[in-house]
Amino acid sequence: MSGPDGLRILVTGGTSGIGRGVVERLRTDGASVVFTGRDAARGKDVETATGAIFVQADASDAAAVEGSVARTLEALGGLDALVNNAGMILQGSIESTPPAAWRELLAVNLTAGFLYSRACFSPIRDGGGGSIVHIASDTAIRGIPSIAAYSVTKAGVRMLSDMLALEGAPVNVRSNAVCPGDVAPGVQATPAGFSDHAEDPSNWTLPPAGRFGTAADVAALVAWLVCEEARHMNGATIRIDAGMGAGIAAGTAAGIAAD
Amino acid sequence: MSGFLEGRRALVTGGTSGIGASLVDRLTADGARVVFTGRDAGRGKEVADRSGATFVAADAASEEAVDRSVDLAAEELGGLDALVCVAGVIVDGTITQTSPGDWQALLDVNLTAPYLYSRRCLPLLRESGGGSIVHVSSDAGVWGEEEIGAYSVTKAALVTLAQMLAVEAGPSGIRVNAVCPGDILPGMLTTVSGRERPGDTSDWRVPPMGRIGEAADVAGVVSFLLGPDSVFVTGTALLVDGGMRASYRAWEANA
Repeated sequence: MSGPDGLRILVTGGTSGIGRGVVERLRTDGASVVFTGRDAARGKDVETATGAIFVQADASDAAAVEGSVARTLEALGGLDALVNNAGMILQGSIESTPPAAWRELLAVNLTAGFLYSRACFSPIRDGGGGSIVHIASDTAIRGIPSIAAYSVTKAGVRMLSDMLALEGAPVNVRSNAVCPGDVAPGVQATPAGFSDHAEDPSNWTLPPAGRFGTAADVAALVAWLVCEEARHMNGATIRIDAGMGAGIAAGTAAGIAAD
Repeated sequence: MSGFLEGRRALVTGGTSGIGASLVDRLTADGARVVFTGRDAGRGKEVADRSGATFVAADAASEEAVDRSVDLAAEELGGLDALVCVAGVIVDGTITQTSPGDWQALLDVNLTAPYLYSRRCLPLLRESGGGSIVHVSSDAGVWGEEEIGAYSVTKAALVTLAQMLAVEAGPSGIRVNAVCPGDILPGMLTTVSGRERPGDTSDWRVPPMGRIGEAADVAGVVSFLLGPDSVFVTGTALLVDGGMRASYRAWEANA
């Protein structure tokens, strides 16, 4: 098999941003896709536009995670890949992050990825193998102090991916961490009580290549990672950031610009 | 080395056993005044009696206990110059073998508690004109270990927590570092469900230095990170592992 054609894939957080881009790309490539999200209206939009199946689920709710995996298996008759994409972000330092927001960030960015991976691992394995792709962040490699708590959760996601890679290798379940730099439109959701992360990309520092990433840029990498062609990719941490993380000058500039 | 930390006021979490207890011994021997926390009053009293440090019973998983123990430490010591977060729990198992309950308990103690302690202590350290925070992570937070998968995840996130704190607290003269011990005896015996006896360690791989680490090896590094010789060291993740993570195959040195 070459390409995602015919693969059965679950994408979490597929109603906007990178997740939506991934759903669109995988559908274009011929995959059968179920995607989750909290917003029913946006879910319907993506469903209509792509032909993917929307399952409403809040990633911070363990019961909703279990339920959405069960509905996915029912709808697709099995599973070949999981894309852990649902996430939220919060501006600020560690000290300015209140405990409730800290816990919500951990729940959505890290625990949901754990729960989804745990629930999907056996179905993927039992179907002959497949892959899990985690949408981490460039902050998983080096943190950005203006989104400090977010960075902590993403470092955890990267290690989660590595541990699943080791566990899955003998049974043909691969796990990789995709680490995007600034992508517009990117992650918008925030913990309760905080307004949307409506950061103006015009204030961002341009990467050395002169443009910001798009959801489609990231989706192209995801579409390759789920394929048989990427069978030797496991436990990889892949920056997709147009070079921002390649050296300290670019990375420092990004941190300062986001302050 | 006596007097190396003369007059420094330090709070150590998880000081009743393992690396934490050894650290309390070391810091008091170096002249520091120490308050340490833990869950077990019996062991707490033992360590307090032999070291002269002050024990405060506190469960790191409880936000209320975190706040209370910081307040008590600041009152007892008249301020604070250093925080060392040692308290941690471990669960054997791969990611998919880890129950959601154990996962949450690991996150609460190994990651959220250091966040809560740091946040509560930063203003106190600022009042003292600066200070030093050390988070005891693990070599598994640098290169993970499949058989302690969830533990590895929490320890990796903890390294980034230390780094983010280092950046934001640096302008206040506060240093923040992570220490990443390799296999240590006596080491982590605290699981989510309780305490275990040390198991069979005869099959442990030996690092290039030719022996398994001791708690005192780690305590010495932490003492250095709290003291005057490390004033320009911050934001690091310092491996204390006998060279084990210097290579894919470091154990072959003694095979």
